[in-house]
Amino acid sequence: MHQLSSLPRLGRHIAATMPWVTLLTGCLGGTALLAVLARVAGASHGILDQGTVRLTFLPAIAALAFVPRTPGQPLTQTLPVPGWVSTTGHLLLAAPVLAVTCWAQLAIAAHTTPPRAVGHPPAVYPVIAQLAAWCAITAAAAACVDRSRYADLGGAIAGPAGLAAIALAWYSPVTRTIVTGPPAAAHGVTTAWSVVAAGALGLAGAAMRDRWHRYSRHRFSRTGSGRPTGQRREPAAPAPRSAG
Amino acid sequence: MTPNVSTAPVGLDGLSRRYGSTQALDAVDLALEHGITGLLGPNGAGKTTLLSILATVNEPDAGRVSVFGLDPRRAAERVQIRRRLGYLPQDLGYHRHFTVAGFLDYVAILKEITDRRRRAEEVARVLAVVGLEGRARTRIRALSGGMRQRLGIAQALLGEPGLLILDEPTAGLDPEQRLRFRELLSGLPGDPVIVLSTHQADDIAAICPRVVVLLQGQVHFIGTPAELAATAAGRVWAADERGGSAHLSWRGGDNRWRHIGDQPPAGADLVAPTVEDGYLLLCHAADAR
Amino acid sequence: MSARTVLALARVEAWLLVRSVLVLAGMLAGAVVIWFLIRPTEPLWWRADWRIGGGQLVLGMAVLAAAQLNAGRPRRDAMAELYASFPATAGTRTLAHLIGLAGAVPAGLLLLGAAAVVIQLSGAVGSASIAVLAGGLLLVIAAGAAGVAIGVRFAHPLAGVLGALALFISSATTHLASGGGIWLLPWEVFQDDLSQLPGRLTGYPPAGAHAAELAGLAALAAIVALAVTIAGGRSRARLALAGVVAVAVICLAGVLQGRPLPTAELNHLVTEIADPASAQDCVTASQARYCLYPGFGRDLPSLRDPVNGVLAHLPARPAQPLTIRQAALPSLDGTFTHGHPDQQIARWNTQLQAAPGDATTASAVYLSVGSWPAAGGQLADARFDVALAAADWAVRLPFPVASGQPCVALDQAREAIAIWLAILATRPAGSELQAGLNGSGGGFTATEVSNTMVRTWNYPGISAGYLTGATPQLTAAGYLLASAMTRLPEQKVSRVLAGAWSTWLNWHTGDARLAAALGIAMPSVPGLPGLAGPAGNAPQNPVCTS
Repeated sequence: MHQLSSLPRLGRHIAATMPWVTLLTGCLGGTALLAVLARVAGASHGILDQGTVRLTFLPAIAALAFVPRTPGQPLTQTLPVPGWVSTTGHLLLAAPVLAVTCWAQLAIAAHTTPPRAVGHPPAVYPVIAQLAAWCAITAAAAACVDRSRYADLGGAIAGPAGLAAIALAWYSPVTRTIVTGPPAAAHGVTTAWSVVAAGALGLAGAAMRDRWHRYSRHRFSRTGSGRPTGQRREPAAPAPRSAG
Repeated sequence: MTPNVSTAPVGLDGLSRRYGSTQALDAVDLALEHGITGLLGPNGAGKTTLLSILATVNEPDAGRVSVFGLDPRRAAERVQIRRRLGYLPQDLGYHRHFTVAGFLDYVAILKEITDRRRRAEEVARVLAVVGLEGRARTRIRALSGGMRQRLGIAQALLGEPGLLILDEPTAGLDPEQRLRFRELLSGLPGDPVIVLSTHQADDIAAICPRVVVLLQGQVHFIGTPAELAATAAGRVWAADERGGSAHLSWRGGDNRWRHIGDQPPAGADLVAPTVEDGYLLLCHAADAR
Repeated sequence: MSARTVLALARVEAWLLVRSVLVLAGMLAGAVVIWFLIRPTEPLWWRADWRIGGGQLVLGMAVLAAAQLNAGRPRRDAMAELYASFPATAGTRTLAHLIGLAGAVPAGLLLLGAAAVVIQLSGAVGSASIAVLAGGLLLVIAAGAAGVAIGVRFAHPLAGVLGALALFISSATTHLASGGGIWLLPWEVFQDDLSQLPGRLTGYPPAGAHAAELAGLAALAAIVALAVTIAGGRSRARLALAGVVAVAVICLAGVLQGRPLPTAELNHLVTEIADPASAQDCVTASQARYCLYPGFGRDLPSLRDPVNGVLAHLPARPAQPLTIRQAALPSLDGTFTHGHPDQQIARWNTQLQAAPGDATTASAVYLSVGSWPAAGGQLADARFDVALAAADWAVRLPFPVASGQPCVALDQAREAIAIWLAILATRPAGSELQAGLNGSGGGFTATEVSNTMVRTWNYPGISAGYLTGATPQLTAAGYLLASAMTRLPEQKVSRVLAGAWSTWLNWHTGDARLAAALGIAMPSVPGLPGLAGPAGNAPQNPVCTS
């Protein structure tokens, strides 16, 4: 945790290396799309529900897939301040942007509901928990991709992978009854998605750890002769020169 | 004899190019004959700009370019030039997921080698020339930096180009590969016009019959390596101690200080100048102006 | 621009596209989507071919993203300068990318072919529409062309992902559009009206015009891609002209899609629904009549077996023979009736109100068209539902019930007998029956009758909608008694029932009396936590009388 203490000092550089244009393009794109849908719904006297917000938040999710990327590899792997510090900083910067986007989209959707509509509108906190979990899943996917052979493609692979993981969590028969409501109650849905988010963040943290660990497993494995492969052979004595 | 810009296979006449407030090339006149011409110059001298204009990638702001009598300002002639061109840019990225052979095959198609058999033969030929025939099926991301550079050279050689433009071709190559590269250039069929830019003065000395020194967007020297070295005659010294009046001085591998300048330090011996000495003096003179 | 160069490049690009991780994943995801859309439901071709397009949409999204990555590859990999020195121009490469989209066609055809095989093997009803299936393929190509157009301008991978998402979102929010407007969007994903049609409706959906629209969109995307990369006044002028033609085709296709359905078609549909006897083929077997729309004969065996299973155990049958009839109740909303005068729409709605599926009839069971499952656990549920409906008819429980609160057969022996007959006829899994006590399937666990909370039982498939109309609410007590009856020798139960059949059918005869006659203790109904006494303000359910 002491490594996080370098985060404030790196703040300016982290902000400078943050892919703002990418993130804002996704957030604004989805919000603009929702605004268009609100207009279409208004024309046909329709209402935008939370399901529509889930759809239009997907572009922001896709943009988030491009954020967790360890800059300056492989140099950053040799420095005392680990690369995940910057990545964590980027995610922390992205969080308020995503939160504002979520709030804006929920507000746009709520605006299409007539003021004297019958019945209570559904609770908002379950969908907030769900979208937060989706963000965490995508961050985890991006962190895993950044550690893989597809790191150079970055979000191009992490984005679809994250969306596929979200679809799996949403539609899988195992999780469907827990994370979608009804019949699951609002509290249950919120708890379920919070658990998913925590798990995803844990996976993201594991994926961002020092990459040295991958090599140490092989380097210190025992060979058939019983000698660790890390040991060097003694150099052979030079052959004597023949005279003449 | 200085080649005539208008009759040489490749000619640049009054070439200028500006990037914002920076004059990258300033009225450059250059004639390139068959054989190898080395382009020397510090960073920011305009070498890459010059080569990219020759490669029909960029357009000059002023001046004329003629390649084998063709004018790249005309679209049809520009395509004809490109059919006879091989180009290795300075910072070439690669499609890392392609295999070596797959990448060369792709570039061969882009060079309009459409016959499949001929294309396969050409790919095999260039792979053998650069010594990568054993890596045909290797993904580019698995290649070392030197191998990727050789791959870059290989793609430039596809189609036996009449004009070969190589920007920093020996960057990342080890000494043995640099020797092989010199051998490769010397043995190219068809006697193409070859322009290569480099920071390695000994490469220039070893393989280039002609050298062009480009400084601050202008040509400061055209001649043979011996002539470039001769510009430093009587101005290169070796001494045991460092002198304060030299333009440039450094400690060599023999533990003696090498000085370049007009005022020799005390106890200094005059030594034979090299191409590098002549180039460094030119740079110094240009900076002083 | 050499044609041979373009074709040679296109071959390479097609191969790169087809073996792209994204396209392979898209194909797999598309197959999964198609499987979940078509497998559990009745294989009606007029619904299935449109749903196959839903899977093609997923493949199209993947092709869009992959095509964008391929088209932006030179700039993204810092190769733009090198490519600029090649004789093959950017326009040549773009054309090669566009032609290379043909590499995605085999993937689409594979999805289509596999789905068609599954549908045919499931006993398909009707025949496939080539226009709809071709539309699915054109959707993939149009998406790919859009990807190329995006990629030649924006090399960043996010652009392709956003393009794919825009395609998906526009197809998933068609419910916000009204009337014929829903067909203008790339693909209407959640179309369910097709499920309830008794046959293919000409012009619905407007597949031919939609395919033309998609072709126009593909052409327009290709033109945009070429316009960005091709220099030269004459080429640009030709592209501009082609673009105008493409836009004209799209607009014309849009107009055609927005045309109202022919009045004659809608008249025929309404007649088919309101007066099914005029359109259905009826078959009588074992004193039960089965009336199905043409082409649905495949459902007959799976309907006959459970009904015969019930009839075989009846000591006596009602005077009116049982009729099992298909009923179609599509909502004639704006997607059907747009462009027609309000008076005509009102006339149709009035006619549809006379549709039999919505009216109470003592001797008919109405099956929802298109809801009969193909196989598996859902088919078992559906067979149980039919058996239960036949048993309700046999014991004179009112079914179906018109709109309003369903009645509750509270403490009526006939209820347990009906459940027992249905269990005997179809032998469902005990666990599934038991789960009905816990509100499984989305039903309630209790209901209020005469100011008293009564524990209820939900039969398998209660909310699946295989049958039209509301069923009587069955009680937990009735189920538990029926379950106990299944543990007795069948002949013993049959003997007891036959001995006083008319008594058992009387709604005054309670469960305890039946239990005593069978010599078993009346099973106790487990209480529900938090359920004590009347709820007060909850709507009351009537008791089934008659």
